[in-house]
Amino acid sequence: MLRGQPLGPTRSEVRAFLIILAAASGAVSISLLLTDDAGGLAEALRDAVFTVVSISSTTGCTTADFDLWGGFAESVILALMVVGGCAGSTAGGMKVIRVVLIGRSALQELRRQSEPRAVTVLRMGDQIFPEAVKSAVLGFFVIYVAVFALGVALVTGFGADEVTAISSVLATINVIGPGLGDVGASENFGAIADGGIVTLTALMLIGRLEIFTLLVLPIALYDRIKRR
Amino acid sequence: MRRLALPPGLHLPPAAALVSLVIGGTLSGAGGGMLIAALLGLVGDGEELLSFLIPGVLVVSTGVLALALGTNGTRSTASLRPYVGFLAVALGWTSAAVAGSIPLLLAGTFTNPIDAFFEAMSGFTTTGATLLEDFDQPDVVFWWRSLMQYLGGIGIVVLVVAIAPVSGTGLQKAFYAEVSGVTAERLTPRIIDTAKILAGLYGALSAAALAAYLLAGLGPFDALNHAMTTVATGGFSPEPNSIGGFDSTGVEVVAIVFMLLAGVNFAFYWRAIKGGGLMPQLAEVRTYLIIVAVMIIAITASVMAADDVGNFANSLRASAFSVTTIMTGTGYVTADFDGWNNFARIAILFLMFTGACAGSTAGGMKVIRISLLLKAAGQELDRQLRPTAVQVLRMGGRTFSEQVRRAVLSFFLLYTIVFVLGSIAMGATGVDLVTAISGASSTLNIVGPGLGEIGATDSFTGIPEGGRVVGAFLMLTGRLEVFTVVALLAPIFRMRPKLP
Repeated sequence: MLRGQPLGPTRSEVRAFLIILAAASGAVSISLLLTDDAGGLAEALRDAVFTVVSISSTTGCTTADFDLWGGFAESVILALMVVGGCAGSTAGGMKVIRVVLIGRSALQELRRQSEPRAVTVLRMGDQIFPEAVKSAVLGFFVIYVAVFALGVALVTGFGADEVTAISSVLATINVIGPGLGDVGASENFGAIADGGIVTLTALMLIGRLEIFTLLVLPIALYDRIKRR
Repeated sequence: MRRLALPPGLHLPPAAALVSLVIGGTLSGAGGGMLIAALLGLVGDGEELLSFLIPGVLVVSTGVLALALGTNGTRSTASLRPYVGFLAVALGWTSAAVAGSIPLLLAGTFTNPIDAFFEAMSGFTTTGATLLEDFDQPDVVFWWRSLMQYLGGIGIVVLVVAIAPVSGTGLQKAFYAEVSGVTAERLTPRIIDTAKILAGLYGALSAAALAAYLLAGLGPFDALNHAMTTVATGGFSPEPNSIGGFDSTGVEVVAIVFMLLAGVNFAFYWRAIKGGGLMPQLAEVRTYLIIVAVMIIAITASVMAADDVGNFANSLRASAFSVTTIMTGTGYVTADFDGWNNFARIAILFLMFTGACAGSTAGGMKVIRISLLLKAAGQELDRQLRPTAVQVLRMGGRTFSEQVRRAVLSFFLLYTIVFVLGSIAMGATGVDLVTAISGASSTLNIVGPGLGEIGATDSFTGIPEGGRVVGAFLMLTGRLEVFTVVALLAPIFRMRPKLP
């Protein structure tokens, strides 16, 4: 942008990111207004926007204790954790561009099934994404979910309750910080047992390196050994 | 099918004809079920029979009329867009649920139509989540609940195994039959023959279950009701405390065995009987049983370590039952697994998603899809190291085409998206996070019980009305393997202005 070059797919990603932020802030504000007895519109908006932006950008600064916000707001926050920020930024999560690609892949598949003879193409802005990229993103998603599931199983195995487990795994693999439950906005990670801490530390590394980087290592090692 | 003599002007276009045909078929089945329930009720306490006889007759008549209209329409179903097939199936199931709620309202079991609709949908989708609080109901009501699940069970098996694999009809796409690794071959060249075979297998399994339950000590009323809901992997029970209410190891063992059997691909049974090669389905069955065994061991160990249930025998009994009932999506309850340690609870939540084998009455994503997914994802990981290598998706001696790989990945995608949105929607109705997540999971995976407010020993009454509507929608979506319902809603996205 600074060099005056065409913005390409990054513009779509940024736009999608902003839409997500706006929609989530709105939804959470409304939920706060409806459930919170104290505080008016200004306070609800302030808390919602700060939390949404902090979580989406995977920063993790907290003002309000969103752990007290009820099922809807909490599930929106968990979803935001997974989406994360844009690719090529310091943010974590699955990255908005992957989420958008995944969403569009889903629509593309639906269209392909409903109209088998239609020619469908996966695109964002003016960039076309070939099948190989789509496969890779979908594969990434599957592995992400598998790592998440394994992480949750381990953390609960070491004694945490499920809300703490789910949110702590999401908070670490998406490199955010605070979660819900025992690792909520007003707590720290001290409540988690040692085994869980080791798991979560590994998840932070895996998440920061976009999962494939780290998981590919055992495969490379295995190949090396096989070739001997 | 014999064409009824209708006025020559009554000629439907092909799309409407198919929809009419499917709705007619389901309504005829549903209405017939009501009449059977009334008959069984007559043998029992004989109460509230009219509440089932009158709707039964009306629904059957409507169904037959719709069938007649459908067969009078143009025959060229091959040229129909798949969308019509989706619509037909979705409307068929919904109309069954609507019809099914009528006698429940007339008999006074429910006063709120939404509750009756939820119960009926839970019946036909073989979920087993119940809103019933007062179990002091006339016999006929319990018969109807069991029959709804029984019909729903055979309905889905016939749809997936008999109808969908036949190319040329829009219904094929509705169940991804050929493209998602789910039952890929026809059992016989004609749908009607395959359907008869499946009905036969279903009936044989039910008869065996009935005999087993009787031997285990249940009275005829309980034995038959449970035989029906076990084979359908539904989970409705006339007992307020489900199977746990009998407190009998024998009954639980029977339930475990037949739930497991009902979770196997029915095409597998046919191949076994015919003596043909078992291979295509054997891999899935093997994986299925391995998962069951491993999870029982894992959960027994965790339950013993956390001392949730007591000694080894009790722990094994409780976890074996819980693993089986959740994985097959049946939903009977013995122990209150909601009170167990958190590892066990999370494991149970995950098992809901795993499901049993494709081509059975069970719910969830199905074992074969999970296996294919992990394999396909593993190949993507491999591709990072060897970008130019050709990767072929192979499992159990079978090769899966690129189309299948793409379809399975897309299925997983859609499933997750629907689950996340469903959880958020549930949360919006005012329940806590755990209840929202497990409520969405329990309905989408058509299991029945969940965690939190809808925990093992609770019913769905802890969920507010909005959540019941969301639940009913998720049950329909899950039963029809997500794709059907989502594909119906997809055109909405095309009508919006182009996304950035």
